[in-house]
Amino acid sequence: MLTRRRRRRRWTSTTTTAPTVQYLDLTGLSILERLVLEEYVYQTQTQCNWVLIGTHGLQSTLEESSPWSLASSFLHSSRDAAIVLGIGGKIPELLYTKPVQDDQIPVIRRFSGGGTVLMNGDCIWTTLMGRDFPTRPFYPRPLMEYTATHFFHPLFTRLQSYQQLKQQQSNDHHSSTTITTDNLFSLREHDYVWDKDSKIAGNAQSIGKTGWLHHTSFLWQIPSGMSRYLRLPAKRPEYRASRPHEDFVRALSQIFPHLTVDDFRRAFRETSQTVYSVESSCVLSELQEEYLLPVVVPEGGLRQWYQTKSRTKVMTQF
Amino acid sequence: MASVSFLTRTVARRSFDSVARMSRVTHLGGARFSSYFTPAHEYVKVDGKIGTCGITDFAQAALGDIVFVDLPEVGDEFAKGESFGSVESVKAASDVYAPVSGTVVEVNEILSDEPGMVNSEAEGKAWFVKIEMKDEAELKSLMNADAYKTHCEEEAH
Repeated sequence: MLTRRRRRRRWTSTTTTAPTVQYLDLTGLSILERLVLEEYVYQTQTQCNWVLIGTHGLQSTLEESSPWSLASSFLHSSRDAAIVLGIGGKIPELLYTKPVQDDQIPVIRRFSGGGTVLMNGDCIWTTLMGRDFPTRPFYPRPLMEYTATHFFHPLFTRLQSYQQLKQQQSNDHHSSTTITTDNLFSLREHDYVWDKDSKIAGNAQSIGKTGWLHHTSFLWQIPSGMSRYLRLPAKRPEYRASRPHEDFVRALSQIFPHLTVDDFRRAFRETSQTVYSVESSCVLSELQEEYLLPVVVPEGGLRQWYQTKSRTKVMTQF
Repeated sequence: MASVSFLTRTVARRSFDSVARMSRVTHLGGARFSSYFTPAHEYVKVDGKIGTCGITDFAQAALGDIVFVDLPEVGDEFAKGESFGSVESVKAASDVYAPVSGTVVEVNEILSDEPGMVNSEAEGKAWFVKIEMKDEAELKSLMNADAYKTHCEEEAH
């Protein structure tokens, strides 16, 4: 339950007004904490729609005493990165296990479907959780189309406008880089792509009777080691053919060379405010003050929930 | 979502035909077989106190290629409407809910190696679990074949 700022409102699926959402910027959580907190919100905070964003590494900025901390589950690695699999991912089929073990890369199985991603602080992670959004029924393809059309295409239009403005401000007329002014974002098969051919994000969903969750990882920079750790998946989209990871995915910093991660976060927040009615907005420091989502404390904290109810697991045997 | 509507109408018709075959009430040594359906597209085929549960043909078509099925273990207990597992299709993990309360007495192990069977045999060989029902009266709140057919057609529009 939210605190006094929350207004109780009953939504029906026929509503034509913008859905009300709660907005969280969780930058500062570790990769594992982000996954588990997101799963917790999805499973338990079913009275609200949610919009989440963040960038995450292996370490957390939370105090170990925080009810949101998974400090005892901190993952250690020679690199500030982790591999995150979908719920059905089979490690021998998806990973080169020896380099993963040699480099001590943590492997985490998440609660949602979808593919494999090498996560580090250069990934921007966004999540939409819909309880009563104007899209029915709750099936994968309609949800992909809804998120692409109603949220992410407008987001990329906004990013293009930021890029143009910054380019004008920099008086960068002599740049040899041709920066397109067109929004080339689209949905192809099950991927968000740029210019029809380059994948720019990984998507995954979890669907249940209380609603749906759609999370997306955008690569601001391509992390090194993708082809070292990640096999070419057997099931892949037709348009990919047999391209290796580095030739198939495209970093947002290449598309928006004048922008920063903070520009993306600002555009995401502004798009949320345009597409939805943002009822409350919170960053990690406010979460630590137990301003929102206080119910996790009676449950023994996020650590207890992770150990007893979460489907998210750190894989130690492979 | 014209393509989705066409797909769901086609699947609704195919699902109904399959259901009509399953829904016949037969007598075999005193046992009765009947099928019931949930709004979330799970089915339970009743044989005495045992209910064979899975997802319908309508559901598998809407989900797409099934790549993974997460099932409980024998001995696990579930209340009606409680999630007992999930199916993964391309990008989505979709929860599956118990149509009736009871204890799992058998799990379809084939699906761990052949999850794609759900796409071709959803209401046949690709059942998920068999449950020893705790309260057969719960069946009264589920849909029969006719009601389920109507439900699918309404969802398609």
